[in-house]
Amino acid sequence: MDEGKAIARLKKGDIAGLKTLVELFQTDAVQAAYLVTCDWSLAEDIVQTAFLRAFEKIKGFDETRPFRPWFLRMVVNDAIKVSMRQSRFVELNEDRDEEYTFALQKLAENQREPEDLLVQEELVLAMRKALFHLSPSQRAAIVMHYFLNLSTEDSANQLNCAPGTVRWRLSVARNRLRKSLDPFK
Amino acid sequence: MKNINHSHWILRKIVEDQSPEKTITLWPQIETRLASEGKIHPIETPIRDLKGKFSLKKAAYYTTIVLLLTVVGSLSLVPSVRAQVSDWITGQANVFSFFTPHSQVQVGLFSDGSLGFVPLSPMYLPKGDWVMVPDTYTEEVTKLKTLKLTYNKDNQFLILSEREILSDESLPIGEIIKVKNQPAVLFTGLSGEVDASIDLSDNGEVQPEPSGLVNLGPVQYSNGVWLIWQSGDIRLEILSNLTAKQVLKIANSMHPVEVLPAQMEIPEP
Repeated sequence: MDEGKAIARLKKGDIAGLKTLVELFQTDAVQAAYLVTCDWSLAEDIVQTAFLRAFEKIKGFDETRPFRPWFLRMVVNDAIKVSMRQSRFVELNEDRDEEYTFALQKLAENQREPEDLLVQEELVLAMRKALFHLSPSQRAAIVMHYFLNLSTEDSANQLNCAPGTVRWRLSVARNRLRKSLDPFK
Repeated sequence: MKNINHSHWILRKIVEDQSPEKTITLWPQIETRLASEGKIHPIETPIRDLKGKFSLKKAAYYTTIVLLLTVVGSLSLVPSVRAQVSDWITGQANVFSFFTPHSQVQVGLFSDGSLGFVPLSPMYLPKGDWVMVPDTYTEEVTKLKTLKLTYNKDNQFLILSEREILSDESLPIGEIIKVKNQPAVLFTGLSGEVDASIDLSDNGEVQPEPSGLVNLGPVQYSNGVWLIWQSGDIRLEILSNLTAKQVLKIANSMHPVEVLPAQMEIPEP
């Protein structure tokens, strides 16, 4: 069953349609939510809830539009909200600010994957640390742009903000990562 | 050096390093949550495909009997074929005999063995003239043949579903209770709509259509009860708008049905 048929069946109340949509989009959704929340269990929970909301809202969904951006918008927005609630209780360490800059610069550069496995691992580790020190909104902007490969305009739609805001978020994140990446140059 | 999208590669690596499992399978949890929140009930799922224009579901009622009789009827002019068909039916099929308490109605359901178990049937029901319609279908999620018994009295209903247990299958997360000293999970306070109202004739009998199907009309319910448990190799579920106490008493009264060999006598033309 393809996406269109699944949506049509779900609109008629057939949960087999929802099952198909879950199978089609759960991986992208959980991975994107994880990159925003930094918590795998939380990410799975957010995506489950998002699918339940999709089930409730599907009758108002415009079938001529693709389901993926519509659904991922809910997932990423939910992930931001949950992360922001949690971040109130986490003290940010300003000393690690440089890590942000490093990671975003690496993301912004369309370089090639290093062959050396050790270099790969170090890079991923540094990137992970840096990424997870960004604000949830900044992480969401990165996830939309670099992970889900959505355009700035699409990312803006996903995040319910103007494209300029997304560019600003990416720019801020890039600047912060650039500083922290200096030692690795 | 591989020429790939570097940014995507890094993020993908971060995700994969943290993923406890390579495959993500959220459907079982989502289905459980849908059911526990009363939005749907798993046993309704396959029937939804049959939903008609007026929200009536067609439950298969003696469909097998009708099909078999149709085959027999169409071949009845050929004595040798007639004899073969009669032998085949007698040798292959059994009849599960369900007895409904109080109303003292015996309902037979042909089985070709694909169910894989002998069904359980309640020996207790609250007082009143209950009617029951049996149905079998293949559950879309598990791909297992499932038996569905719909009991109805006025606006009260009880839907019992039974199928084989999957290997390593566990009960959903919920309030743990006991049914015949075995763990069971009980959900209460459910609300929704289910097709469980059985059309009756003026003399109070179930009225199958000429096709052998019985219309099941919608019943709105609130404060519904959903009980899931396992008995031997059978997984059982009850969805009902009876009280939790009544549903537990019904679950504790479950007993294997009588299995009779099918005897088909084909009249001479």
